[in-house]
Amino acid sequence: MDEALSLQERVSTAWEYRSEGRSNELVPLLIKDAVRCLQEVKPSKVFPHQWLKRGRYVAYLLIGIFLVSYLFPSPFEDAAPPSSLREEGRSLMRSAERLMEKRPEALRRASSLARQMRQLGEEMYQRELEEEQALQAYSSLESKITQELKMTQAELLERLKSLEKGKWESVDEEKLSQIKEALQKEEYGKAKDLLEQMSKEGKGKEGEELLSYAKELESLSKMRKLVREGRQRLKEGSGKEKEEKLARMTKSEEESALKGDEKNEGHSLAQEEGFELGQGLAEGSSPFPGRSPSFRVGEEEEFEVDEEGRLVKVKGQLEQGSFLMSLLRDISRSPEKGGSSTKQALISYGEMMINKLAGEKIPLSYKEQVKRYFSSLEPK
Amino acid sequence: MTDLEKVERFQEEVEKVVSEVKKIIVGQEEVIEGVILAILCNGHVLLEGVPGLGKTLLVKSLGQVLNLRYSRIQFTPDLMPADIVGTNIIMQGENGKRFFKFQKGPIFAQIILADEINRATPKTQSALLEAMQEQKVTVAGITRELELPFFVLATQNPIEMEGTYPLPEAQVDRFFFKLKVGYPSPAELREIVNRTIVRQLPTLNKVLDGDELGRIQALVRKVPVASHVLDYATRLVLATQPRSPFATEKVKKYVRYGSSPRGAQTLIAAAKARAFRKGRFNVSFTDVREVALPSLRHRILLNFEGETEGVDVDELIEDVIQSVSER
Repeated sequence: MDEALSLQERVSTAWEYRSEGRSNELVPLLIKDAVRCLQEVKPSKVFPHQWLKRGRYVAYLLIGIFLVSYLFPSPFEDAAPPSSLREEGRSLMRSAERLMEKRPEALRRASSLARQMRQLGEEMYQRELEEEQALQAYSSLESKITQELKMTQAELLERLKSLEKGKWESVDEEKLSQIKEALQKEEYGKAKDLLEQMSKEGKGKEGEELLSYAKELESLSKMRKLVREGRQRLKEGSGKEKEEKLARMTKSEEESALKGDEKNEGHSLAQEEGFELGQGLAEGSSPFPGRSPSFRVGEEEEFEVDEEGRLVKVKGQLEQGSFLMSLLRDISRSPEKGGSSTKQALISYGEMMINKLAGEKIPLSYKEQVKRYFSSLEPK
Repeated sequence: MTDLEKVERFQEEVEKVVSEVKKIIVGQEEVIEGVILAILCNGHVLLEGVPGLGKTLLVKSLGQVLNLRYSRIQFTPDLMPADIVGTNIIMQGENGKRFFKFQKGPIFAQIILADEINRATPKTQSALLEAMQEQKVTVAGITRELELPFFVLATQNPIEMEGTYPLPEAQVDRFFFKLKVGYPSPAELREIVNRTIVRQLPTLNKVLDGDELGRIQALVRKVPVASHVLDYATRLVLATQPRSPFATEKVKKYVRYGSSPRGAQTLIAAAKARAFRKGRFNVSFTDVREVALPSLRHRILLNFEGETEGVDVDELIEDVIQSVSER
């Protein structure tokens, strides 16, 4: 301390004399002097200048980062989904509040659902829900909205049908059919505009009621869109995390497996798979004789066109891949002593299967059937 | 009066002594400071320098300022010990009876200026030994106490080797400090001329008496020293001895005898005095280093190789200071 603070051995001498109980008339003065010197020590001497300098640089850096992020917002900012459940909840709450502010109480269905939406957002924001629970709540809310939407739509169509039967003195048949068409196409905004025009043309209370149906439909549609997007973002966020984690784990396991296989057999299933992929789509040779070769757009999209340039097949998408891999990994980690070669075979098999399924092309004509099939599997 | 006030008053008085001496002596601040430190430690000083540098004037001035009895002894080759310490002379009483009476020599004073001490023979020089060490004088079997405080401030001329006798090691060792008096700077020289030739020399005020000085000396002895500072001083002294494990290469090569234990005593005593002068209540490493040269330079004896190669003892000590760590 004396050396570091240039105290001329005051502290060490005082300490020694005090601890050894040696005293004369100068020792108390020495102790006082040492204490006085210590009190006068500047903090900058105790905390080296370099440290402060470094701290200052860190502060500058943080301020710089803040300014850069403030002045030049990230191009991904808008596209990026809310990174957490909490943020998603806050977003949902705000959206619900905006809807509740805009919609009068007359739109009872939309108002009720907006309140439910707000509640869900609040629960998510306050972390009362787990991610899985939030996804389920989203699905449930979406189903409710869809149900209300369908009911409102049905009621409106019913009312419109009654108009056709001559409730109104003069009905613009063309406009009516346009409204119906818009409703069937779920173009609720357009339907509302048309009904608004009709209402302005002097259809009285009846016209206003029809308009309120249209407004409710529009609100419900917006709500459904919001909920659907939110669910998708949440799903993608968690899915990405899981997939990244899985990919990391799989890669390390695969590397170890490859090493093991090279030692044992000289070649691996993964190598065979690589050979197959290399001989197949990647090099542009067609697996279907007489058809045009496949084209790669970017890294992910792959499609096939016929001789007239029409899109006939798209590359399969395998969202269940991560699940499958985790399942396989769980099997390989099961307490049964299958030996390392069994585990490696399972991992390699799983990997190969996923790639194969992902590389499969689905004929466009089957698109609707496939969609229906998977939709039917979704929990209601 | 509190202890602190007492200490501060003593420090002020010593400062006044220095100020008074500086009225006469121009420059030579290190020498003045060295002499003051030695006086605070009740030590003797050997001043070395060519004639005309103000050595004698300095000692005379100190004698006046300190209100101590002052005497001057001019050492010459024919100076006898009795000329210094005194002698018994035959006296005749009123009844015609003869008796011996001790005639005190100039040593019976409090500040002795032993001018050109190396001009006297070793026998005469040795007459100072007992007085310097024990503040006593023995003549014809009778020991007489000297009045305290007692200081010998000796001067010697380094270049006038003709007709001089080097001081015996035992005597040199008894000097607390050996101070080298150097040439004044041009500005100092101009001021010397102004003070001595153009104007009249100022009169000096008596600041301290013997009793007061004795109390200050007692207080200086009480200045606390930490054990690690004491160890450092010990290592410094041991490092001047060629057979010591602390000895530097230069010391091993050029030194015949290193500092005696008196060197270590001097180092610590002088460091205490320096701390007192600096207004501190403890001895620091810096204090020890600052007093190392005047404390040790006359206690190191060069060997033949060192003498022939003209090794400077001061450089050897500087090397030792550089080599010995504080921890």
